[in-house]
Amino acid sequence: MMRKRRTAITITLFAACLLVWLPLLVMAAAVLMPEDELYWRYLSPLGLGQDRVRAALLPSYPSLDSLLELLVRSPGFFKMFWNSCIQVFPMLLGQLAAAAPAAWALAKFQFPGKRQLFGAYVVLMVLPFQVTQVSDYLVLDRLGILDSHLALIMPGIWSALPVYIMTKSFETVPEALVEAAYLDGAGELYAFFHIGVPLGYPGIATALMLSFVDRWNALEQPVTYLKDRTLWPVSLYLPDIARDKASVAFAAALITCLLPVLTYLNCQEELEQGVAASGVKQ
Amino acid sequence: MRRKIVPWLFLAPSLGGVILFTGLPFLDVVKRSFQDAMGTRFVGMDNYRAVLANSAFRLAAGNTVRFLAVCIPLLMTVSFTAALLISAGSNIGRESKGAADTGDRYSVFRTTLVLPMTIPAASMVLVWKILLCPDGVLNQFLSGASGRTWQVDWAFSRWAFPVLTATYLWKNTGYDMILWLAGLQGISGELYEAAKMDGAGVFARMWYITLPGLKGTFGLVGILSVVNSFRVYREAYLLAGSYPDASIYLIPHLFAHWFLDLDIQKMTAAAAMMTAIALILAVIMGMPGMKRRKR
Amino acid sequence: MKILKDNSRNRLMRRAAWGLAICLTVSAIGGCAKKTGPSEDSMGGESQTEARSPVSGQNETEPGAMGRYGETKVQLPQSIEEQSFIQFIRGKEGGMELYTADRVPDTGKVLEAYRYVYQDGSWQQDQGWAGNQALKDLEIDLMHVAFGMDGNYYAGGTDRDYSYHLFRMEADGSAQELLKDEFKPKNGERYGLIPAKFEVLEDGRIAVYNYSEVVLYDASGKRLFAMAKDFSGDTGDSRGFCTDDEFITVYEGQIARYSLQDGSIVENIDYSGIQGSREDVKLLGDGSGGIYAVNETGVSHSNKGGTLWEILIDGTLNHLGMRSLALRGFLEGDNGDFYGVFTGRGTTGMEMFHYEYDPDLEAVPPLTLTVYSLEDNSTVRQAASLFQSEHPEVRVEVRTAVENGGTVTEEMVQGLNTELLSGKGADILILDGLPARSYIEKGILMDIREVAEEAKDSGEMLNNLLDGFKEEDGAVYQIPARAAFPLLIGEQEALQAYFSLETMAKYQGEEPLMGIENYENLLRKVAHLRYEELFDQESGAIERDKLIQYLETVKIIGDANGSKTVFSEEEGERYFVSNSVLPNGILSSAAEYDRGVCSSGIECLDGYWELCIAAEVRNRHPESKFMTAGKIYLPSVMAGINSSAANKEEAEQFIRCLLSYDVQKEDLSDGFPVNKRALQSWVETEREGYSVGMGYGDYSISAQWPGVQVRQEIMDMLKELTVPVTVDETVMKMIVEGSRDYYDGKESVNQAADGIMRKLSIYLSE
Repeated sequence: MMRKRRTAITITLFAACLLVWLPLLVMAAAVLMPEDELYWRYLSPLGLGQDRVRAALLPSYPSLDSLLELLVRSPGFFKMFWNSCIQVFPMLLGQLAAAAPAAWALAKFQFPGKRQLFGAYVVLMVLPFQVTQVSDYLVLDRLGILDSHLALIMPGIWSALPVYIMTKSFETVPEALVEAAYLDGAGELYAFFHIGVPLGYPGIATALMLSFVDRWNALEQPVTYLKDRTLWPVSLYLPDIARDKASVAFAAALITCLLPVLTYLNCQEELEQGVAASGVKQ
Repeated sequence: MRRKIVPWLFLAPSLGGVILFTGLPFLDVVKRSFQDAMGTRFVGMDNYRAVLANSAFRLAAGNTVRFLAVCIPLLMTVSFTAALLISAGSNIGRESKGAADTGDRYSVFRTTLVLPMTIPAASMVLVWKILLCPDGVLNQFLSGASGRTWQVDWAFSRWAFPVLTATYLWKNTGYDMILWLAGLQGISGELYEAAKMDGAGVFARMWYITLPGLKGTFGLVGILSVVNSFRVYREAYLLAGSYPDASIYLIPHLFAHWFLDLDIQKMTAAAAMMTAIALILAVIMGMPGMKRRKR
Repeated sequence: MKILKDNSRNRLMRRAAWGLAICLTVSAIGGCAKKTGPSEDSMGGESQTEARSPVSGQNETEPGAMGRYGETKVQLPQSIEEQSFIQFIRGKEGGMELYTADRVPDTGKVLEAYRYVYQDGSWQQDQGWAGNQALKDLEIDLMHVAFGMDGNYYAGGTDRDYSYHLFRMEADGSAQELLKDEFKPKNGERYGLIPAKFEVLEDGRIAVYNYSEVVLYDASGKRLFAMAKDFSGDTGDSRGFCTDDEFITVYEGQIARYSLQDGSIVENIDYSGIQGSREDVKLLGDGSGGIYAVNETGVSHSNKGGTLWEILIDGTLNHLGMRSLALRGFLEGDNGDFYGVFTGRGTTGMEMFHYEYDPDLEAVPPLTLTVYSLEDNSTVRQAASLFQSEHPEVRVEVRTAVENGGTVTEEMVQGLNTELLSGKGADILILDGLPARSYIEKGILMDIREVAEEAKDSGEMLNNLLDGFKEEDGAVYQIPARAAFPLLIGEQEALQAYFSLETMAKYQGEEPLMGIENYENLLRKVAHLRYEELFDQESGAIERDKLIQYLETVKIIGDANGSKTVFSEEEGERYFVSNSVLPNGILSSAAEYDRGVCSSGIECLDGYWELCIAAEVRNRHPESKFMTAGKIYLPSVMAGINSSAANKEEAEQFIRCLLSYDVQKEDLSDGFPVNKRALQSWVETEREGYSVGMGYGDYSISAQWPGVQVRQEIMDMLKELTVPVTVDETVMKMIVEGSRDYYDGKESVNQAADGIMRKLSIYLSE
């Protein structure tokens, strides 16, 4: 009975996972196809003509041509990849430094105006980028950081979403633990760093992961704030692929999402175990 | 006394930045909503009236509400189901003997389902087109299964709404699932054991233990789903262009077009109204997710 | 339990390995990016000051930033105007020498070759040069001259059979042939190899530049080895040079240093620090192991072993950046100065400029004028170069949203709008593809009626092409600098069909009215030709009934000629059609008419090429005529001034420059001049030897420069056009996408029209 149910569950989940695996396999296979096979199979989706799609999970004649084309003969791609790194990683550090303490305060302190403040964070979080685009531009211009990496890093640091997620996570830190620490004579900073951060770690990791993915894929912000093309991040490479370069489109798509995916795979265990751990201690 | 100033010290770095980079721009947005496009003249409520009278806005707002009303419950249900399955599966696994490898297997499922979140929309669009274009895989599959020829242009027809819903689910299920899982594992196993002893069935346990235990998670998942739903515009735009089928013409489409035509006064007025609605909803629901402290 | 732990540790190890891999990739990328970092920073810094000055209204750069390369014209002898360029080199004792030739116009055969030498600041013909006579005796057309490091002169050229010969020019005036067998046709081929260039080393070894490699021969003519380089089909290619022990070229997107001892690559140098085209870059040595790279963005320099590229000369400030000129030779002078020889579009004549460091010039011109356009445009570049050489105090910065044929996206227009709404943005906007109507309504554009009136009053302009841009209140916000127009060709009966949609639909000739093509082009073409009939010119909208008539008319035309929404590859080869789409849909089709496939042809006249073909087709069919499509024309390079521009006066000057004779007279294949005098000079210009041709399948056509009557006829046509056509691209896209199923036979015209009208009503109600 148990075994049967487990088998049923496994099969259901396996089916769900197929929905994820198959599209990704299709993409990976396309990366390894030489140009003519790519055109033979995917003429319509590439917008080059109309022909029956011949989807495949494996290339008939695997070739590294399109990857090589992208990685060896497109120096621009590397430059953009590196720009993305410069723009995203410092921003994550900044987020960590700014959002975590704020979230700790919102989660673990009582003070007048707290609910309203938290509400304000929630509202700001929901605003679409286009709405504040012009106003943001004016602020950045006033600060004189337009057309530099800072124009993407600075506004990113103060995003409201990580504050929200981290607050939710810190709220699960047992009050008793904090109180006990105070009773033992711990200072505020000690409580934050030795109880809040370790126990709220899953929320922090989740928030940073989300920000990372979001910023890595940013399109509007760089186009708006960076006139200097040499500063453009890799997310702008994909939309800029001209029709005659359609053969590298799949390769560019793969390489672009490689870093977020690998980062996730790399820290997902910590991330998920952390998430779970936080729940247990509620 | 000490505790009064301390929270503000913790808040200071974030608050300063948020005021500068988000708060001030937001105030500027509110100001602009009462001005003409170039911000040279105050026009009172004209912009608001214009927006409310605008049929494109009504269509977009209606579609957006519909999208939220369909997708968010759907996403929450699907992700919750997935979380239950994984949690149940690994629990059973833990109880039976071959514990070691089962746990592993379920973590593979978990990882897989979260993976789509990390993939940029632009990367996936080509694959969706392979699936959905008139010559694509989905039509071929349906033709094979039904015996008649399918040539539906999924992304451009009235099927666009389900298609968009599907991409939204594909992308966000895993993430919500993780949040649910965290909530589920927070519910002590002893409660279930005790209920089992008392003869409570599967549904009773679900109703009296699981759901109440997930109250906090509910708000969190809900809000994040709303936030993520605004991002679905990227998929919609890349898949179906800037004027898609009328059923998936959403607020972000309208905003993009207004912005192209420099109608920023309309945009800011609409945004101010949306924010006001969000605020009112938040007040009614008692600041969603702003949990009362429990002791 | 223990097993589980070990498992997870293994997994952690694996993940750590992954992480390491990422770090390595990132740091590898970072490493190579960092190397070029500083140089780009310095460039970035420069462009930042440039970008900032117009924005903040501060036109003064920091004091003390003085010194830059100035450009002065070098007077060349009068006789050179009729001669064509051969080579620009340093010869004996380092003196500069310029080689030219008189050619037979049609065949290009060399009649006489000349050597000019630079003495005491002026160019003199070297009457004592024996090379001309020696080559004439050998019946060789001179192509290349080189002064070898061994102190001898060398020359190369082709004989009557287009076989190449290489000679050492002896002191006694005789020529000694070298590498005799190397250039003979190889087995089975008709022609032998004609190299792009050759160099001779100190010990007499010879480096011969082929398309994708350089072959080194020893002094006796024995082949030593080959060194690969990136392909170049250019016969004047100088993407590479030899020093006494190294050969430097571009290979696989990098600069490669080859050892001339064994032909191995000693070093690869990243040159992503060089801006602009890296295909057309010229490389030359600085005499101490460093490299100069020259292209239209300027001259960059890198020291030996260095990876830093420093911009010495900013090409956008002088003739290096001028599109109508091609840089043919570039040499370093004796005092860190440079000389460049350019040729224009004509087959004869050349210009020389001298670049000298001037410590009294401001490092960056004190005033920057920015011009923004979505796509690169030659007329704008041309005007920018000319404007700067006339106004040394102004730097014109041309900003384009996309480079190298990339796609313009909504985000790019939104980015521009953000700037404009913030009261910033470029001084001059080239409005092609931008929402000009909205910009006018929102007050983004400045009223430039004075510039327009002044231009019209000067009597120099084709006023009919400018009048269409006057608003109801008399204001003018945009002025086109170029105009193209659809030219119909066919017999009277067929041409008459173009008068309305109805007559188009009713046309019953032996052949279909138009040639076969994809439906999108057909739709776009008819939309442009019948613009007035179809669209409301204010809103760009279309009535439902009109839309149905339009869709049906296109269907009738398409049914008659076999058009499809998409062609397969076989169909493409059979009917000579493609799936590519032009914005105005007017695919060159005079040749189709000539082939008898259809009863009329259309050329979108935007330069000489189409006209030559059209005129030739009419010659072949005496019964055929030319006609314009009503009074419509397609304006392009529409210039407007940002109303918050910091430098309004200079911006107006720039627009005057854009409309001036000197800019307008160049044919840059982006439309006809709107300047009457420029057009007149074009009418009056005879161009012997100008010939174009095309062909596919069994069909071919070649055409000469049309006669003066034809040119006058075209000018007279241009004078009559008064209706500028700008079809709203959003509406056009809706129609194309919404009608695809109708043309594929999957839905009715009503269904298609309903779908289009639904989207259109959303669009119009926004």
